[in-house]
Amino acid sequence: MNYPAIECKNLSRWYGEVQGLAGLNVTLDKGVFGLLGPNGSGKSTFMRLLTGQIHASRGSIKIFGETIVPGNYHALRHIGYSIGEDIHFENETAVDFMKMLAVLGGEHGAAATKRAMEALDFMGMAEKANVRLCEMSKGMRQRVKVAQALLFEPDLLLLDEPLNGMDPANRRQTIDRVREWGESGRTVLLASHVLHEVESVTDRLMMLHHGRLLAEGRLSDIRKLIDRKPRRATIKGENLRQLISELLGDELITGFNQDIDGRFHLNTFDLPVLLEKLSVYGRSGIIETLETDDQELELVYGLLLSDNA
Amino acid sequence: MINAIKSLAAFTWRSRMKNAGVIVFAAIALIPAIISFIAIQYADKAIGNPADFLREYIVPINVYFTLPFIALFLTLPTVASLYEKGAIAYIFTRPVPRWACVSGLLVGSILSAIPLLLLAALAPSLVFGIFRPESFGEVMSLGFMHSLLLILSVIPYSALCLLFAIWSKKPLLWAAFFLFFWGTVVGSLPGEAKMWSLHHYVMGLAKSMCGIEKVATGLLPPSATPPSNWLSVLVLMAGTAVMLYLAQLSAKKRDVY
Repeated sequence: MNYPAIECKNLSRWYGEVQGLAGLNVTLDKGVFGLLGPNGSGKSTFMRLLTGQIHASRGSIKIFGETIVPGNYHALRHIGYSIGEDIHFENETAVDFMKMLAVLGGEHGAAATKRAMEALDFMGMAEKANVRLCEMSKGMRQRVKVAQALLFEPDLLLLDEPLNGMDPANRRQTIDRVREWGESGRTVLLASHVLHEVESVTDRLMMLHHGRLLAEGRLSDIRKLIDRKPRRATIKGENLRQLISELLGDELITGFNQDIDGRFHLNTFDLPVLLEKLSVYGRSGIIETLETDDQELELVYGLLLSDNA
Repeated sequence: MINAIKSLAAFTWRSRMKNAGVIVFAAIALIPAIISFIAIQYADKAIGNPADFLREYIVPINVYFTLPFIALFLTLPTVASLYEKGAIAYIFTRPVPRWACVSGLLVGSILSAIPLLLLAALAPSLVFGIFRPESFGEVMSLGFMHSLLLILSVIPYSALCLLFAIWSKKPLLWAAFFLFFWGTVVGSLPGEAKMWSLHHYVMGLAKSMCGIEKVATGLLPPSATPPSNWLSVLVLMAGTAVMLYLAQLSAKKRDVY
């Protein structure tokens, strides 16, 4: 196929007066891409448009050169899609659910069962094949969701918040699987509102804000943007003044203040090195608590929006 | 395509039959049998010919109430909840035409209605057959024709419910209006208006297949000039096809979110 995996031109979608997506122009080829944005930024709208679930108010979408509109089912054979919402086929066992979808994809009989089991196995869910979906944890259902998207080894894999509700071990496994898929020469688009989730899978991303494409490019470039702004670590403990003097002397922090609870808020341009240093002190028992602002996404958006303004 | 239809029909069947609600439906389908049992216990002599009792009470109860109720509450929740929860996306994002998807859901709904309709039609006959063994042959034969009538009728009724479940976000209102009000009331009006109701053709079949001449309550009686069997079957099946066509059209038009 010589066509791009995804080609959107001036793609817009309105929900009454609310703008879901506005004039999106995107062309994606092979590889893993992150689609980043807070809730309501248009990620799921974009995914639904790509899979022909909703009509575009304006513009066009092509998947591997084929136009996508609701009801044009031919182009869907290229796509594997893991939906953002929960599965909601509660009474089905994982394998029955997968088999049904395999048959809808064109397989039948033993071949459908085999395909269903292979996809479940790929996601480490083969042992739970006969468990009903309502009896599974959310993390397990999330893996079944990803497995059903992989049923037909799609050239384009769309994952809408696939890591929601997963425990760290499942998360790691899913991330590895997604990366594996992307490295096999296919296209993966992973939507998330958590920066480090996207970062764990890919370096290439698009950022949506209020339905508009705010930025696209390498995450490392965005990291540079983050590094332009001081980050904050908060510590609490006994006799921290000497430590803070040391950090100031090493120019690891650019300033600090103490709140009424006795916590010190440290400003730094090099958060990883500062955390490394603080963890050494933490082990010696000087620091009782250590917190960092985990609001990277807000920070990035703040920076990009202020730059755009 | 046939496999896709079969697969969705099997899913619909499973989702209905594994649901605890099926017990409620079975209880409702047993109401005519309970009425028959009470009647035979307390009014055995007044009943006279059991087949006449079935024709005047039980067949109308099933046609006016059990049939639309089962069609409504079996078909609507299956499809409407798929839309409400966004789960329909799992089906509509597969490389299958929408007509095959809606056909599968319809076939599954009809199949899951059949055991309940058999219960509603055969159980009362069985009650009379047991307590009045001399009329066993007659009531059971009526029971089979009654079953066939209900099965033929549930096809367009389910298609109508399917159409509303896909087309409207308030399908219960629409389906209840068309099945109960438009169906039974308009379908029993004197004059030509009733020809626009599916119920008129169902009652046409009821008259020729089960021999219904009157209903015990005297309300909403069958037409004195019913349509022929062929016309009734043709209208019911053509109606199903039209509603299926409109349902797949609605499935393409309606956004999933």
